[in-house]
Formats: sequence, C-alpha cells, structure tokens
Amino acid sequence: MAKIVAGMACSHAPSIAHAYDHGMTNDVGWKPLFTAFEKSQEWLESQKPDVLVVIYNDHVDQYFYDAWPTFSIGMAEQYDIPDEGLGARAFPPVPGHKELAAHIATSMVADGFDITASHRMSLDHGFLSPMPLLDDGWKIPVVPLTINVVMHPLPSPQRCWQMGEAVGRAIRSFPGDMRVVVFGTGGLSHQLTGPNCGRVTAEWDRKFMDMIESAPQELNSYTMADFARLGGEHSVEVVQWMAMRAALPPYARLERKFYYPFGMMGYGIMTFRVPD
Amino acid sequence: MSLYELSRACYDLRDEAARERFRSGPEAYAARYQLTAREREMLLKLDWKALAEAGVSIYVLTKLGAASNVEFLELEGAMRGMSKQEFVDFLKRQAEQNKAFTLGLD
Repeated sequence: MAKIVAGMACSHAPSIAHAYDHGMTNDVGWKPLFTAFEKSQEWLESQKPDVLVVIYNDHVDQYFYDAWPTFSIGMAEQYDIPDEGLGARAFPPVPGHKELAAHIATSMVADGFDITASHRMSLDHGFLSPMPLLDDGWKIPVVPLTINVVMHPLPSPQRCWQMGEAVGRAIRSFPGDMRVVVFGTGGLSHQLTGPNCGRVTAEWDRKFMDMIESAPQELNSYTMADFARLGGEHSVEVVQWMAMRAALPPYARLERKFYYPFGMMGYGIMTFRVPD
Repeated sequence: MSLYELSRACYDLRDEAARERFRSGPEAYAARYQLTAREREMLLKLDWKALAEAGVSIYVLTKLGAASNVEFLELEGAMRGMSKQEFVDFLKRQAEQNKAFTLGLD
C-alpha cells in the first residue's frame, strides 16, 4: 500500500515567484525565505518521495465565477503553466501521476466526498510559486488538489480538515509500494484590499502554527470569518495547512518550523515526518 | 450580472491578445462588456480602491494591473490611499515591529 511519509505546509505568493524569476533570492529581504526553501528542498529529497500530493488554491486563473468547485483534483497526464497576466512563467508542463489521481478521486467519492475531477488544469502561483523551489526540474510527478477560498460560499475549516482526512485515507488505500509527501500551500496572514491592506498579524500566525503542530483539530471550531478577522481576508488559505495536517496520521512529528513576516505577508514553512 | 461582467473584463486579460486590445484601445475593450457607466469609469481610470469596494476580486485586479503596467505595490498602496513609496515605508515599519515573531532563521 502507498505510504504517506511526510507533510509540508508553506506559503505561496506571486512575490515569491517574482523574486525567484528576477534573481532576487539573495537580496537581504528575500534571503531568509529562500534559504528556508533550500533546506526544505534537501529535506524533501531525503524523504525519497515517488509522488507529491499538493493541496493549494486557485486565484481566478483556472476557475472563474461561471462555476467554482469547492474541492477539485487534477486527473491529467501533465499540467499547464498559466498566464496570470504577465505571460506564462518559463517552466515545462508539470508531470502528473494519473493512476494515483484516479484512485484518490474514486476513493473520495466512495467515501462520501464528492470532489470535482479536472482533466485539464493549469497550476497557478498557489502551486507554482513554491514548487520549483522544492522540486527543481519536475523530477517527481504530482497530484494537485484545490480548495475554494475565493468565491463565496467558502467551505468551513472543519470541512477542509475532513477533506484532508479523506485524501489521507485515499492515498493509504492505493495498492502498490509508493512513498507520498502531502503539501498544503497558502497563507499566512495577508490582506490585499481595504483600509488594512498590507497588514501582517504575526502573533496570530505564530499561534496558528503552534496549533497546526500540537492541536490542529482545535482549528475546526474556527470559521472562515474568524480566520479573515485574525489573519486578513486573504489568509483563509490556511485551510490548506489544515487539510495537509489532516491527511497525515495523528502521530506525525514536526521536523521544522519557520516563520518570517516580511512585506505584505507572514511567510511560513512547517515540515512533518511520519515515523515508521 | 454587472459585477460578473466587470470581473470578466479583468479576467480575460490573462491572454496576451486581449492585453494588446486593452492597451491599444481601452474604451473599445471595455465596450465589449455589459458595464454601467460607473463601472466603465472605474475600469478605465484604474480606480483600484473603488473596484475592490465594488467587490472585484484582487486576483482579477492584479491582471488589470499587469495589463496596465501598474506595479503591484502601487496598486496595493492605492487601497489605503497611499503612494507606492508611502506603502513601502509602511511595510518596512510593520516588518520592524513584527521582527520579534521571526522563527527558525538559519
């Protein structure tokens, strides 16, 4: 059976992509974040993963208001690099793992989780800002999953936790010897509109990370409105951290915790290992 | 449907050909969408604050910003009624205040 060997949560942002594409990774402000990603890349390699399951959110690139799936999964052989307004970034298509994707989708529906299957999908900066820093050259195939954190009504944090649990059960029931690492990207605090535009609430970010580490299910009693109030409207992406954590077995152990409030964001990284 | 149309006008700028149409004739570009006079004005004047207040997602406003060669920090500063420089200074002060919460730096 497939085994979830590790999990990682990290921020995603166009700013990360911009700094990376413009050779700014060694700039004073950016260096701490890119150093942390470099360490995470070494860590990921040491996990020897066969597939990366990445839970992220789209930002009105793949999906629009005609219809927006609450939860979706990519089922494709490979995934497109989108044009988010500045032209597509210079990466080849991202290789997918069709068999695992098909298995997760089927298992989730059988498990009472009616996820939308996307047979053609582009992966916007929710995926594409952190992932080249972790798997340069696309050596490891992926299964992308999305949670709607943009078009209301949004799913509750508790429902996102349950989604992660269902993803975990589905992966673990995949026949065959396979090492899987699960990712959740997004957050932490940021607010991109309104009178508090640019606000970073670092104290809350640290509290959230502590809860993800030691009491993740307590986050199920929060609402999306709570997250928006505490971390900013656009910080509700943190439900993807919850889904990742829920996909791991409860005995997963924290390996690394990094937090860096900079510019308009609280940037965070957490990695977990699943003991044998 | 108006907010939909306004959002659609920004969303469609994911395509280079659309961006060229927008840049070479913003009024003709806007005319392809069913907008009220006020919506058309906000779009053509790049009134970021008003567009956001009207409910247009920041994630499509960034596409309008990119097509208009407006830097993200300038667009975001406008949300607070600040110039780009004022906004950058605000972010620097904030980062300084938040420094104590940094964790796990190598």
